[in-house]
Amino acid sequence: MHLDWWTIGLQTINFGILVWLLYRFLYKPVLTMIDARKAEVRRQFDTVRDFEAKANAELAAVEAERAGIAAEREAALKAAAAQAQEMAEARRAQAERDAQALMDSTRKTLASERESALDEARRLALDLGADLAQRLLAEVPMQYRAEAWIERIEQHLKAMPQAERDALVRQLADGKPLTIVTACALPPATADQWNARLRQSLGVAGAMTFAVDPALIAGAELHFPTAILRFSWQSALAATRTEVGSHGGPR
Amino acid sequence: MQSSPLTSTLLFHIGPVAITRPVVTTWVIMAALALVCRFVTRRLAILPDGRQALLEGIVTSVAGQIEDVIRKDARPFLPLLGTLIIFLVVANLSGVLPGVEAPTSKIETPAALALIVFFSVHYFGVRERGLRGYLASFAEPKLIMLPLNILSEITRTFSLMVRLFGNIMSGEFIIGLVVALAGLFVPIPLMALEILVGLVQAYIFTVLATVFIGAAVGSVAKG
Repeated sequence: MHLDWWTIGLQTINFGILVWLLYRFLYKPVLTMIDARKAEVRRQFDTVRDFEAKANAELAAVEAERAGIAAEREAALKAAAAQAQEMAEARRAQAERDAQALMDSTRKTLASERESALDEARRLALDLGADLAQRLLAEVPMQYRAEAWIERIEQHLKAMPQAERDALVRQLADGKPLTIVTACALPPATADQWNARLRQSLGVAGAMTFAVDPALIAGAELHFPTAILRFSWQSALAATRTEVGSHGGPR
Repeated sequence: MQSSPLTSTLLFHIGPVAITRPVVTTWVIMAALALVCRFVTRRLAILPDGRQALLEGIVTSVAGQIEDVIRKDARPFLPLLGTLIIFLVVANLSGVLPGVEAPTSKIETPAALALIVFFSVHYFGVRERGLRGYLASFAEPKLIMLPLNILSEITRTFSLMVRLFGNIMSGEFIIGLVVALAGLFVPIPLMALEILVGLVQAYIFTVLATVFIGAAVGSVAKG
């Protein structure tokens, strides 16, 4: 077997050259490109990571802002609900007050109307009673009716304090007359009797005149020059009407 | 028909230097590989097209194989080992072409490659471990193993050379015999087998060289 050392040497050199050639034209460009691609991928990855970090930060900011908006909305809703509740309460209270005032006003009106109706009924009753009494009295003879009234007048004058009675008597001095007004004309005998009994009760001797006023219904009035003593049903009814008008009368 | 499968055909002389057929074939292969590589790598882009993806796939696959064996960064070893497998594949398969002898079918080319591997192993070992550390590795695991380790450095290089040469030469020799005896198209199955043998031998040679280098740099146990 023969070994050609020149060929071995040349093939060794050839392989060395081939290593250099492939390194120059294959491995170096390809590895450089792979490294560049890795660097680009890494750069893009870093960029994407930066973007992701920014996006996460913005997302967190948006979330925080959204949470703030939600809290603000919640607070606004609560405030609005509280305000609405307050307004509703105020309106209800106002309505209750208005209703109460209306009820009070209505009650007052009803009470007033009822009082007016009662007064009117009382007045009508008084008028009716007076009318009935007048009719019944018309059937009683005059001397009997007059007797009752003169006795009452005498009792009144007797019960009157002396000073008042003296003041009345003084009005009749100097011949001034005492006028006796009755509801109907007294018979002459009764008039004379009244004249005598009154002079005795008052202790005077002056003139006395008689007059008739059907409005008195029953009874009599003593008209002094400056004073009147009333003993008639008219005055009694007037007093009763006054009491009814002031709601102080009997019910 | 060849006069002897063991001798290289002398083509011409350049001064005292005899230029044989394997050398010329190797020059052609070198030129072809350089031109092809120059052509395919002239316009590389960040976004690769199919051609570039295939090219990058080949390079990264070779680098991955080296890393799998050496378990270190493949880049320092890629020019040598990558060129070794590319050259061996092309050289082994060149014998299939009509009128072409595979350079590896002659003893000088496998011998040259084996010598390169032999010296590369020591170069990478010394560079990785330092001279003392690398020399000390020959005494591992026991000092008594020193002569055997030194002997194995020679014998494994020799076996590397002979394995490649024997497989490729025998394939071409058998194909030549069958062509001479049976006719033009009869050895086609044998040629297909020869292609497979060429690929396998290129892989084996390169993987063994990688293992030797890995053992030298200490990442692979010596065996």
